[in-house]
Parts: sequence; structure tokens; C-alpha cells
Amino acid sequence: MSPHRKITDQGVAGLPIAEGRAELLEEIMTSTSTTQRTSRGLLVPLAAAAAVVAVAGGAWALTTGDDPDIAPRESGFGSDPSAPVASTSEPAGTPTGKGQDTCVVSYAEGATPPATDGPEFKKCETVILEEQQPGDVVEDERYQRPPRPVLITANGWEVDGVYNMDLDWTGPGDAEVHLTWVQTEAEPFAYDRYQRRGERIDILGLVGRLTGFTEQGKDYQVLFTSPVQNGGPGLLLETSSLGPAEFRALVESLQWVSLAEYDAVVRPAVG
Amino acid sequence: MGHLDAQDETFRRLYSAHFDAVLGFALRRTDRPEDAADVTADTFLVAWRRLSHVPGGDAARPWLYGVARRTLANHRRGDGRRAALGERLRVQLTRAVADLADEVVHRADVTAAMARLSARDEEILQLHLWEGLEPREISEVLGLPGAVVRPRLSRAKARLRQVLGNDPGPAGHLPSTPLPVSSKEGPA
Repeated sequence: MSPHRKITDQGVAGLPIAEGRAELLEEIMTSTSTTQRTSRGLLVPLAAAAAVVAVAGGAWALTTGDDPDIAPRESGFGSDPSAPVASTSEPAGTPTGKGQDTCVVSYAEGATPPATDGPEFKKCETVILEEQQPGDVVEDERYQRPPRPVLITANGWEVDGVYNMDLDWTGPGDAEVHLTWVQTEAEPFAYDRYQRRGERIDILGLVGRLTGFTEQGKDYQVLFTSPVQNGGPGLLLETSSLGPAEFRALVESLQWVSLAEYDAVVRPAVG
Repeated sequence: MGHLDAQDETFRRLYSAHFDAVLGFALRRTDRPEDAADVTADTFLVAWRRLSHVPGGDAARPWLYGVARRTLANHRRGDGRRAALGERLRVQLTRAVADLADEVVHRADVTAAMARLSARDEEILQLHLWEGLEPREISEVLGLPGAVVRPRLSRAKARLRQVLGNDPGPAGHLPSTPLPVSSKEGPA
């Protein structure tokens, strides 16, 4: 089918895929639910938890809203961007919940659920294991603090949309850039897709790669950096409305800023 | 009926009511039918696992689109298959779409023009024109306030009109519900 001939929902309904459709339904419903209840207490919604223990690749750390422990800028994957990142994160703290009885442990999709029988869980009446999903929204609020506040400082660029810590930026000529954070350790695709090719660029004290791909006839320019924390998220900038030279100039305008400076720019765009 | 039975029934109804819409959403945004099958499988797997978070009524579809959209983004970033489910659907869909000739959305020229816009303009127009969503529903899919979506949609429509040479079609816009057309209606 031509890329410009798009099937309708009515067309989908007429496709001879009844068996596959029915089989998928049964496969999904017989798959293991990732929201598992332990033997103690009742399940509560993730949103009810004030603190979430984030687990990535076997290492886990509390995500409580305190200042993240920023690694030195030169850390990260070092001289070989394609090499796996060795996490230096230590198991941190005791999981806490809204009350002292509910602990939510969030772990990366596809990872092995962590053990919950350690001493740090003793005070938890209920322990909920929650596999992260593409549809997850951890905070109800549109705004969420990023791992480290960063802004585009090139002239004419402003934040046009906020989705948690992801930002849509709009610039001169209606150019658009999407800024997001990608969990490097839990998302090995990041290395396959971005880090093994492209031009190396030293930016923000991190190692980045300028690369791109073509998707459905659109040319995307991408910057992906080493993690701002060991084993943590890397910065991803993506655009389909700038050429390589323009995008590079924009990337070079990125600056770390204080949280107050970040809030001053981002908060008004939350809506 | 027990609690689990009720959950099963709720999910079956959700799947039945929205499968075509989610698969259509994915098919319109992927180059390969098997990728659309994967996105659909992943989307409903999320819905199954997060069933208590799925809103009821008309709000379910934008919620599912929102999940599908993020799943698509993962696929585009090279994250590959997630669910490893729906193998039969992948096979059947690949064959079925290869044979597809007629059931396509209205006006391929508009689709082509949309592809010349920025990714963000294209996405919001696709949600409006292909999925028939209003700004309030689009805001749910994109996770943005309606106050952001409405002017963004308006600007995107204006830019689409420019690309089309001020000829966006009858009544100045496309029908909100994509219509099937015959293969004689225009070149692909």
C-alpha cells in the first residue's frame, strides 16, 4: 500500500484477521499481570504512593523528589559510547509510601522484578511491584522535575508544551524540537540506535552523538547524550524540522541551569 | 460474577470496542503491518495491565491512542517488539494489508501534504483528520492542555492549507471520520 493511502477503521474491520485478533486477546489475558500483590495487604494505585523505588537493570534507588545525585560531568560511558554502562548505583534507602504501610517498587519494563523480602521492606504492610509501561504517568501534574535542568538558550526558542519532564520547543520559522530523557541502562536500544553511529560531540560535559534517521519520509536529527547520572537517563533531542547544521547550532546552545531558571521558562508553558 | 471475572469481561469489551481503532491508528502510522500488529499488542497489553487506569466510555479511545502513540515512539526509536505476542496477527495482517486496495482514508493528496509538515503538525492533524478527534480528545492523547492543543491545531491546519495551495478540499476541511473511497478516486 502506498504510504499516502491510509486504511480506515472500517477497512480494518473488514480485514481477514479474526483468528489473529482472537488469539492476541487470549494471549494478553493469560499473560502475567505486572501489577502483582504480595502476600500482605491490598493493592493500591501507583499514584497513591508518595515515593517510588525505581529499579533499573538490577540497581535501584529512591525517587523521592530530592535533588538527584548528579555524577561528575565527565562520567558516563566514557570513551566508548557503545559499551554498556556499568552502574555504580548502590541500593538506596528504604522504600516509603504515602503511609508507612504501602511501598511501591517500580522496575524497568522487561527487567526481573526485584526481591521484596529485605529488611528495608519490613515496615511495608503492602508491597506493590509495578512494571513501568509506555502509558505510565507517574505524576498527575503535567510538570515533573527533570534529572537535571537544562534549557535551549538559542534566540527565538521557547517551550511550547510540557509533558512531565519532556518538553516541546518551538523556534524561528516554526521549527520544533522535542526534548526528552531516555533511561540509558534500561533502554539498550539507545546505544544501538544512536550511540554506535553519528558524530561525537562533547556537550554539557557529556558525550553526545549527533545522528539521525528517516521515518516515513521524514528526516529526523537526533542528539543523544551519555547519562547525567551513572546508569541514569540521557538527554535526547529530536527534530524533523531542522537540518544537520541548524540542529548542531541548537544543540550547542544547550545549557545546564538552576531549577529556578528552569521553572521560570517551563512552568508558564504547563498550561 | 467475581471480581476477576468482571475484570476479564471489562477488558474483553474494551478490546472488542477499540481493537479496530487501535490497529487502524497503528497501521496508519507504520510502514510495515507487522509493526502495527506489535504496537497493537503492546497497547492492549498495557491496557490489560493497567485496566483500572483505563477511563470508561468515550474517554477510553483517546487513552488507548495515547498509549499507542508512546509505544510507536518506542518502536521508532528502535526499541523493537515488546510484547512478543500476537504472532498470528502479525502474519495475517501482513497478508491482509498486502491485498488491500480500497479501504483507504479520504484524499491521499492531503496525506501527502501532511507528510511535508513538521512531525508535530503532522501528528496533530492525523489525530484530527484520521482519528476524528476533537481538541479535547487530542489533548488527552498528547498529554497536553486543551489550551495548547487548540491553537496548535489551528496553526497546523493553516500550514496544511498553505501546502495544499489553499485547496484543502470541499468545505475547507476533511471529514472528521475517515471515509473509505474507491480505488478510482485518485492516485495513491
